[in-house]
Amino acid sequence: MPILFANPAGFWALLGIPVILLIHLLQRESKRLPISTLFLLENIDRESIQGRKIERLRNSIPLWLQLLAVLVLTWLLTEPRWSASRTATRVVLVVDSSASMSAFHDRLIEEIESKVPPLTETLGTTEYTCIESHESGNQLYRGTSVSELIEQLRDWTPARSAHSPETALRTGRSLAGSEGTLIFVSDHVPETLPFAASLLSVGEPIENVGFTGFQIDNSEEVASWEVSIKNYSDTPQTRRWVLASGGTRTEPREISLNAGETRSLKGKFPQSRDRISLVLEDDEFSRDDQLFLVVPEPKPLLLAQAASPDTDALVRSLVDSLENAPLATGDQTPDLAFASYNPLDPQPFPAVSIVFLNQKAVPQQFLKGSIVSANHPLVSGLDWQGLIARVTPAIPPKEEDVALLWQGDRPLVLLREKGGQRQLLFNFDVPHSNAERLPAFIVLIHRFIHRVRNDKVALEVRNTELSEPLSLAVDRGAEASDLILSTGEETQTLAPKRASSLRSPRAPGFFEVRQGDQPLLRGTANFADTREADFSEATSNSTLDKLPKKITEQHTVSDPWWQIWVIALLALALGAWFFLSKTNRRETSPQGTQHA
Amino acid sequence: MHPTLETLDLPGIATRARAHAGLFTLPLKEQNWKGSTGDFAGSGVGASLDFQDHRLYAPGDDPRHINWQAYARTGEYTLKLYREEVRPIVEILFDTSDSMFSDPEKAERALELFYFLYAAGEQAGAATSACVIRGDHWKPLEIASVFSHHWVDIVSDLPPTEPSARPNLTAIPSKSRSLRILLSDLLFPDSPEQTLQILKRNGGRPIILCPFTQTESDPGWLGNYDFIDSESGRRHERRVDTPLLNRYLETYRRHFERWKSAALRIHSPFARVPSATKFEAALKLEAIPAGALSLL
Repeated sequence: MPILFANPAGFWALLGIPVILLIHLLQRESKRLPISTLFLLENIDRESIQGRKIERLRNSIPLWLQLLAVLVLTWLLTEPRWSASRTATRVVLVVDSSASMSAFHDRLIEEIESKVPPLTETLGTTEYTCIESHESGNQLYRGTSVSELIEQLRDWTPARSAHSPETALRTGRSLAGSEGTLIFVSDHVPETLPFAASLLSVGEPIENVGFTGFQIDNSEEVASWEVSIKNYSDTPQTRRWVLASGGTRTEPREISLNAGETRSLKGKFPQSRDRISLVLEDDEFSRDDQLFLVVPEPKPLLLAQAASPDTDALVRSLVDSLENAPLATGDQTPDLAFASYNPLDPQPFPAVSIVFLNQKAVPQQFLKGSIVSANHPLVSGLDWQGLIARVTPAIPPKEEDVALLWQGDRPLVLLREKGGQRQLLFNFDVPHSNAERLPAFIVLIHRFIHRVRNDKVALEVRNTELSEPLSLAVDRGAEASDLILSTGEETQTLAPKRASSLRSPRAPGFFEVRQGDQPLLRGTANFADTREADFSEATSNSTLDKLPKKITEQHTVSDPWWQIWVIALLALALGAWFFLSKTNRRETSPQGTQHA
Repeated sequence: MHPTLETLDLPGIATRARAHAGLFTLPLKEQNWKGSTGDFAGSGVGASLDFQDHRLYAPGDDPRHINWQAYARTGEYTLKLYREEVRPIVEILFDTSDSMFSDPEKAERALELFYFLYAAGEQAGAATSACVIRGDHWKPLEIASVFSHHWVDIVSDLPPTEPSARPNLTAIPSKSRSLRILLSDLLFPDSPEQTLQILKRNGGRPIILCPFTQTESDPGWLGNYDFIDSESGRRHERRVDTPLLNRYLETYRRHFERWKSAALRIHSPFARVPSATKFEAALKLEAIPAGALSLL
């Protein structure tokens, strides 16, 4: 059963042994004594040591008692313990995967390398587990080698936005077990740490200046950009910045920011350029020092007008309000058609369409009853209470219809989706109602069009945040090609059926997503979590100091005979005192009267 | 004068010694002595009342001693011989080496013995003389100098000697058939037989009285000592542990065993007189049993 010492500093008590030996080796001061029998003494033991400061060690009972007392005292002070079990000690590290940790990546490795292994060095095998702190974070390492753990951390880049580590800590605690050690490694000190986790904070306040946001206006012929830069530190900072586009860069220009100041920069995209990058002078946190911008452009949506003349004005205004949604011409196949339905002359609806019921004759009566909307994303949060519609024959319902809006027993808006069909049916006479003046009506149509546009497999240009989920419409057919995300530095391939897990790159930059020959997305990924760029709360702290003792106590048992050792120590001390005092009495008693 | 002697109350010691002489005496009755007329039986024929022998008359004999009754019976002149009564001679040889006075107790005991011997000799009517000896040097003491304590000055005038020097008794003239009492601590390395033979010459009867202290016989040393020889002042640093102490005690014991054995061989009383006990008790330990002194 391996033995370990909870208080190795107790071994300093062993210095008592050389001290005692030195004391016993040093000759005591000679006593001057007249003698009349020197001639007898001189004949005895002429080899005995004379006149030395150091004498041979005298074998005496007090010496041995004192040496034994030192050994017993050392034994007690070192607090010997025995391993209680042969199971490996578990240490689970939950490392903060938020982007701010990237500023302390090297320090994180140093701290873990220097502080974690000593926690269990006195015990046997230690099983290390390292997981990321965000929800559904990856397991970075699991094994018994610290060096391998460090190697894994060297290759790891924290890039997540601010998040709560609670879920990861819960997972960590379940991995560590009740007796295992759970350590949260971060760059700041949380108010509380659940699940009895210990803290290893490796951060420190740094003077960070970075981009905090951007805006692109492409309403004019030449798109313009506006970005904001913030000084997060509490001291004035000056940085140089450049604008790069294609292979050209502007001359560096300085920007000075007071403590905590945010300032905007504006400009236009260079002629015939739809992408630029703004680069700030590098500092310790580099993720927000670059901003990549493209002029956004939604997927093109071809529209068709197949409605009655009564709805022309309405449709025209709707088409005008949509971006990149021209009317189809010639043999172009529209993505969405506006149609009307006359209950007196019913016609089939286009497959993907927005259908307005339009009875030629003006209905006389108004629909009665309260208006109730369904719990559906398309109508979520929309207020229809001001809608006034007239009584007309209804669109014949189908089994697959989903009523989004009701007035009394009459479904006013239906969503019909089946197979290739996707139809939004307004089951009331729209031209003869006040729907055009209701925001809910316009919003509902825009939501529907947005869904249609989203589901179209086409190229989209947009700016995203780092690791942003990319909900792309892809070809999911049996022979569909894989999705390829390329950033210029790396390429990621993904099966079409896993398109929902596609995310923008974790590092800032331009990227493109393709499926075969079909480009799906050209975009940028930019750091956008300003909470992570603020290092005013970053600090160094550690609660690991008390852990070794706690871990040792959990995995070991103390010496069951310590009371006996204490008694033995007292006995040895008393014995040494007794024999020493006896010897001293003999040595110091006046001659001649000693035996009188 | 030896520093220790300056601190001692010599008159008081002498007074106590005279008192002790009323309790103890010298063993003068156990031998026939030679000397002037006195109270003790002499070795020759004298005019005492103690009949000794008969012998035939020879010319020159005192006709007053002819036994006329015997002549009437035998017709031969015979003489009746009576024991001679003499005054014995007591010679006190006082070893005054510094070791005798190194310890106050030992010095006091030595002086007590010296004064006692002198007083006892005088009280017994013996012709008592004393001399002080230090190594090769000696000086006879006048009777007046003893009880006037001027002898101390005489001792002080004796030149210093080598450490542990043997008292040279050879040069001291001794009277024949005297009682020779050597008062010494015998702390010198020479053979006891040689000293005893010198004491025994001319028919002398040696008695040896040896004062000692427990600092010599059982010193209880343990530790580091800077020993200073009481006679030469020579320093001797020594670590004394129990084995060394035991060897010292064994050597000390054997030293005096040799003296005791040598004295026994020549039928001389030998007694060691401890310093730590009272004078009477000290004498009763060895001196009385050994015949060096006797009770009155």
